[in-house]
Amino acid sequence: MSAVGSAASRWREAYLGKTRRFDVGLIDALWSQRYAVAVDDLDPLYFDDQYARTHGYAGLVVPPNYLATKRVAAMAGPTEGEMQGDGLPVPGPSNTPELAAMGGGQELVFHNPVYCGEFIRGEATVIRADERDGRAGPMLIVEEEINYRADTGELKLTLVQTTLYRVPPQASPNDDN
Amino acid sequence: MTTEQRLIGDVGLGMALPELRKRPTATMLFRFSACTWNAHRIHYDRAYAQEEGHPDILVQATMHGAFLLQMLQAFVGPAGRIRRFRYSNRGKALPGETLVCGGVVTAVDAATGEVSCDIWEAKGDGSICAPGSAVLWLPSVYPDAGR
Repeated sequence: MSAVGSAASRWREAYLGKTRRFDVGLIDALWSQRYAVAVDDLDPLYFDDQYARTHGYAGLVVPPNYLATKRVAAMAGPTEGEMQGDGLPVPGPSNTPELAAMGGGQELVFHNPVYCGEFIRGEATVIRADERDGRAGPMLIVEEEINYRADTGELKLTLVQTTLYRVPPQASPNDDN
Repeated sequence: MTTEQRLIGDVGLGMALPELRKRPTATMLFRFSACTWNAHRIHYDRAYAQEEGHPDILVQATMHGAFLLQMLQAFVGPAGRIRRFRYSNRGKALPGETLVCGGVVTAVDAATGEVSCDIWEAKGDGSICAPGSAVLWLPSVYPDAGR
């Protein structure tokens, strides 16, 4: 079985259909604004509370894909010893250490605005783990659906995140990212 | 700061969304990685990115999404809303390259205020980095609040 096929089997067995819950944590205005500044997006909805309120919001909102980029649990993160050479964490035993991961795209459904000062929780389910032949050879496509809610239970955002896994790019430098 | 508010009556089928031009820099990529706690070296370490076969560090997948959403938010204005948004990462982009976000209206429902559109992010040579689509909502009248 190919590396991609083997990884697809491991993903399906370990993760497909299973749900994990995590805390994104308190949405902090400083970090939301740093995110906006980092992409040079100075929309006053993210910086001016009064401006946001005069346009139908209940306060400062975060940039639309702030949660979808942040995505992970509010933890300090892996220690230095748990990081591998490419700057990514060492994968777990059922993951894909022999393959390179790349963002493949996202679908977002915005249910309600996300406000600075809210506490957000996530609920993530792997909904697809398939092998597919691409232009650059076989790849593993993993789709994860994440629902984000405020601690009041209000649904904020549904994200379907697509991640592509394939043999490392040095073997095929003209691949897409 | 004031922003012109677009209304549903201003939008028609086939209308082009105003373009947004972005030119990501190495500094932009580093700050984006830093504030999202992303240590993947292909986004800030040129020598490492080249080891992986890339010509330079790569623009993050979700930064392409951020640029498209910035264009959409400007289109709907502060009183409008983005309802749905999807995009695919098709091509890599490097610091210093100009990325042009654009789109076209594919459906308008004046009764609900919903606008559908196809969107894309392209390089100067016309190659597409990130195609996608979106559903937006626009008000039918100027909101009273603050006016």
